[in-house]
Amino acid sequence: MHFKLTSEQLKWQKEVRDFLKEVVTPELLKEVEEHEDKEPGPLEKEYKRKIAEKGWMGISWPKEYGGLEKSAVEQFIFIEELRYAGAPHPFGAGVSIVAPAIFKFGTEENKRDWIPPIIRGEIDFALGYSEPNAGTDLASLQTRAVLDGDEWVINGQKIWNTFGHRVSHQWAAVRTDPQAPKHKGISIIIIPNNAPGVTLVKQKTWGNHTTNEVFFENVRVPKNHLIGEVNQGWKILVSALDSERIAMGSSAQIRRVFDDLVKYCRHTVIDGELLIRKPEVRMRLAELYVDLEVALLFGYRGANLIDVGRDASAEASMMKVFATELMTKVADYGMQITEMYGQLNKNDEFAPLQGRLEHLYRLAPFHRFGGGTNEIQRNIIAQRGLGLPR
Amino acid sequence: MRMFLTEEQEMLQRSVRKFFENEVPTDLVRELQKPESSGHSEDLWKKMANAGWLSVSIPEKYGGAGGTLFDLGLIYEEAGRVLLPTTFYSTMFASFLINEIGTEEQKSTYLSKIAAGEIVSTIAYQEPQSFHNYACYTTVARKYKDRFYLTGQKCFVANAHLANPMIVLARTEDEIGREGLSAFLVSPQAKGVSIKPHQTFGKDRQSIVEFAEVELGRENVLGETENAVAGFHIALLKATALQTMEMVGGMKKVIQMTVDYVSTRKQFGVPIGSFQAVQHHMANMAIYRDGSELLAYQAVTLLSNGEKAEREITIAKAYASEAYKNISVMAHQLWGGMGYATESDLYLWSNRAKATELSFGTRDFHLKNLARFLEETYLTGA
Repeated sequence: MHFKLTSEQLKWQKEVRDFLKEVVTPELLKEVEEHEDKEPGPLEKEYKRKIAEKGWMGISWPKEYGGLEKSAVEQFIFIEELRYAGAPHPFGAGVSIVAPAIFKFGTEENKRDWIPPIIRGEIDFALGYSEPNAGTDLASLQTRAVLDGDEWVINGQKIWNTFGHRVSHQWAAVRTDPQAPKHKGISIIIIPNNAPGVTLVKQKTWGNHTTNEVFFENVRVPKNHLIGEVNQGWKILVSALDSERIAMGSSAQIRRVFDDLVKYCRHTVIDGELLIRKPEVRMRLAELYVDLEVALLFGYRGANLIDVGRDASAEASMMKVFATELMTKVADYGMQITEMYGQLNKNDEFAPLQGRLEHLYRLAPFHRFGGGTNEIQRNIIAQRGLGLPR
Repeated sequence: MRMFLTEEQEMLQRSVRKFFENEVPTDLVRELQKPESSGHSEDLWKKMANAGWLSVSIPEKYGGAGGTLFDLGLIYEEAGRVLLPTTFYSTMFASFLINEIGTEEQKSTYLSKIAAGEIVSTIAYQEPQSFHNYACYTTVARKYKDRFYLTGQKCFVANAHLANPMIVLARTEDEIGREGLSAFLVSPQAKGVSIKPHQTFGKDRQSIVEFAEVELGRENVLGETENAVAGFHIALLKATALQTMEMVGGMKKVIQMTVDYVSTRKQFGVPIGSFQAVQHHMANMAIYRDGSELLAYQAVTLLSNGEKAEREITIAKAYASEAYKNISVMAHQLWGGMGYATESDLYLWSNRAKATELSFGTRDFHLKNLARFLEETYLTGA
């Protein structure tokens, strides 16, 4: 067993870390924040271009598609460095979910059409999955696609379309056979956001991020926007969900908040004593430190399992549950440790960690129910992990 | 042991609930949380005064109804249910201190004004480096002849921009140099007072107030100088206990809304409220709610009966802090996306749950109190 990174992996980690130190400027972060509910601004576009230039859009992709064919562990290292540095996501679902799904299930034509523009950073995707009546019960989705000559005609509605307002295309799960049992009548069709009949309506959330409702009214797309085979969409969707869950197991963002909280406690005096000296603060910080270690190892384990080709569903679920609930815990404990200061947001000069504690607290619920609710994840752990009956 | 409301208390609860349901819809709550709003509704305040909700536990001789602290507690609970603006809580807190240490004339003046809905008030006590330890206060009032000069900084002062008077705790010295805490009645318009709003995630109005040699006279001293500690401690205990009643009201509302949601939201062809996991989460929420309710009712009842009830109050706040927050976190889990968009009202209570967890002492602060009690007093017959 090896619990340390190899020298190759350390070298890779350093390369990523040094690069991010250079390109993640305060100006970039400010622009990203200001553009949260709009399309990316010039600095962000430049940042993405630099990452694409390094070939880092497709870190774990096969070389034949322009990827670096690095291991899942190296992909995981990359994500962790990004998150620890607070660097903006350089890509939406295009690189992390769409491209891997197309490699696995796409036709040759799909691969030729979509992979090159994704890796060049020219197009990006939002996941058009959930609907107002199809959340956890995703298979009951209703958005309809009917073949009319050489075109699919799409009608329906998607919701919780994260990044929809910042990307060019929808990776949409649609119903192509209403007669079949619900899992067997679903297809994946790519829909450009600027196609006539597509309307996005923004929704603001408690965590401050913007999501969208997407309406499709007689939207027409070419027949070859279908990915893989018709009515085979469910298995594409399920395998895509697995990749999403691995990403959701990264705990580096939380680790960063914790590290900055420790520093804050070392230098803040309340009621005559440094926070770090108060026994109750020490206990809470130590407790979080233990949990963060578990989260880190869960993350690496998940990547390890993918690299050796072993099934990782229960482990991915465990990782997701643990990391997302730890998000609440770190934010919650942090706000309690800082007492009255914990309630200050980033617009207050006295806010600890520039308001990142309270922001993380409001972001956390989304991660706990998004990407498959933690209750469903626990079902998977019980059934796939422990072999309990369905 | 009789742990149910009397008929009279139920009647009070019903009429307050009906009043708040009519007068404090969430639209008003959202309106008052906008940055351009003051966070206070004069119209609502007047109506509350007319209905008697501001004067419930103010003695009759000062224009109040002479009711019990528990009666006031029931109003706090209903207030928590609807997210009543915090001017109610800060004004009541101030009224407790006025009642404890004010001169007869001051009580007569200010308590009657509060009862009549004529003033909003607040206590400025916390400082940037001191939340619970008065010995760390750096705000002082220097005495020169018959004038005081107030200098220092207070933070997290609720509704400072609206309060008149703002009651400020400051250290003073008597003629022979003995130090003590004094309470001053300060107008926010007084020369040398500057108020800067905090930016809180819960959007309630709290400010940093700086005092630069603010000149005050004898008439600005609430009660006697160097004599505020004991009375403030009692006011703080009352405010803490009553906040747990507010929190219980909020918990009940969140649970009710969530029961309604999971009973109607369908997935897989059935209401999600029929899933075992959902029912278990809701059961846990109910346990937190009932535990908090009993602890809050106990604390306020004992206070009502004239007992100091420090043990009961600290237990109630320790428990309610965790309970309200966990209920709100679990509610978000059950509502999923539908409760996360800001069109939905759920987050309004989630914000308040976190804010009330932090104010008047976090769970750890109260557990430390209890640890001292366990070490020194518990099982000793004291």
